[in-house]
Amino acid sequence: MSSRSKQPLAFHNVVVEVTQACHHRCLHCYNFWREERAPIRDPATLSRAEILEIIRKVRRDTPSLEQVALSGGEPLLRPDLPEIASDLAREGLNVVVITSGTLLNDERLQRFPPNTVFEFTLFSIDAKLHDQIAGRPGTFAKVIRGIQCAGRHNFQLAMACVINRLNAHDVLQTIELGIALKAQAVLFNRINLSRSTLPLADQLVPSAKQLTEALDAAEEAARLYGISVAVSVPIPPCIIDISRYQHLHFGWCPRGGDGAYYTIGYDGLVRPCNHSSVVLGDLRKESFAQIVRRESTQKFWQPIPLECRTCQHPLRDSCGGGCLAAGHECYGSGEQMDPFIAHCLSATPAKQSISISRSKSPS
Amino acid sequence: MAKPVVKEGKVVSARGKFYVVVGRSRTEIPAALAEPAGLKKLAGTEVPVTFFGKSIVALGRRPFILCYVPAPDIFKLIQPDLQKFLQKKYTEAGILQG
Repeated sequence: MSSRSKQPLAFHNVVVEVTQACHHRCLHCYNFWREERAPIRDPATLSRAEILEIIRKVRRDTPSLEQVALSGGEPLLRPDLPEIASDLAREGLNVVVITSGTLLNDERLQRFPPNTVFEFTLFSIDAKLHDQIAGRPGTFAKVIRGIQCAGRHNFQLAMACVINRLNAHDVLQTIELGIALKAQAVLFNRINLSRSTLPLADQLVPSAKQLTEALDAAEEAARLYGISVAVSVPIPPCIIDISRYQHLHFGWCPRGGDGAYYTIGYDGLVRPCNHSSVVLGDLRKESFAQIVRRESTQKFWQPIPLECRTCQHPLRDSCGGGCLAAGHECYGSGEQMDPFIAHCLSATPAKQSISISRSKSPS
Repeated sequence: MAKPVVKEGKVVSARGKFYVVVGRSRTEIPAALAEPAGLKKLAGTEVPVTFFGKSIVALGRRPFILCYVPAPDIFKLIQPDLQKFLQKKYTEAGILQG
């Protein structure tokens, strides 16, 4: 065993997708299972006890672990989610629940540990548009109700807004509404394409002009209200001059570094991140360190898209060509550029009313 | 593979260019990272500087190396007056219930 392999890993975050089930059909949903979801009671689903055991196993290999994000699907479809969160909180971990917010109510919230963070999604201030993007009528009203309820219980709240071609125009008001709902942080996530949404790219990817306007609005919100806005999904600097934004925090793909958040599926399978369908190993059978340190895992993070290798931008090394997983998902190789870049640069400003149909209707 | 490293550095200007001095080493600040007016304000101050290899990739604040999950240090307390103002605005607009 080499000295490197004896050293503990130094990750701070992992994501656990506690279920693939979801009652929404978001237009931009990147999950590779979006058309064929394992049901909530799928026999392969990790039990509450197994989730705790797996997180303990991960922590043995990466003692720096601070935070576990419980995601899905819609994690609140699991009736035992508050107890799963409590188990992890008792281990001294920060717990973030990534949710649509529609299933939050007094009964559920009372069972969560008090320091749980809820990251909810708000796509627009326009109820119809929010519902159109979420793929289910009535969602907006339920989100508002659920988040108001979480606010009354004094939970820490973060608002995530997925920016696409349909909602890029009302970002300032949407963030204002989030603040009114007691959000203390905003994640400005531009749409990230996957194999299943690539055919919809022309209808969903904002133009560079629209994206600039949306970022301008987020900057204005951060300046006016002092809220932190993290531009979380990478926006390559060949699309936008990010030096214009003094109040926004731009994030990049951690590419396997300490900031990486390996993602554990409902069945214990480990993937590089939430966006990727690549299975790196099985935590029911292997240790986290074995999975992370194996050659195939390390190789996953290496590719730089061909088009980006001659880039002269000072942020080139951070950017690395945008979302590595998106290129991999859409074209089968991380050497292919994140498709968002080409679509954003070639897109023309959009009309507001676009009708997009999905192949399957909400169940 | 290089990883981002955050160090404390002092912003200095010389002959119209801006640099960060960390220990004995001086690195020019890429123009893309900040406008000259903003850098003038920072001149003479110590700031967090993020290096990726030998390149400066972020200046003045800790980078948020995240995508999807909120970093714990992103949360800020919003001024209660501002929040109340927005609650009133969106309640009057009929979006929030009082």
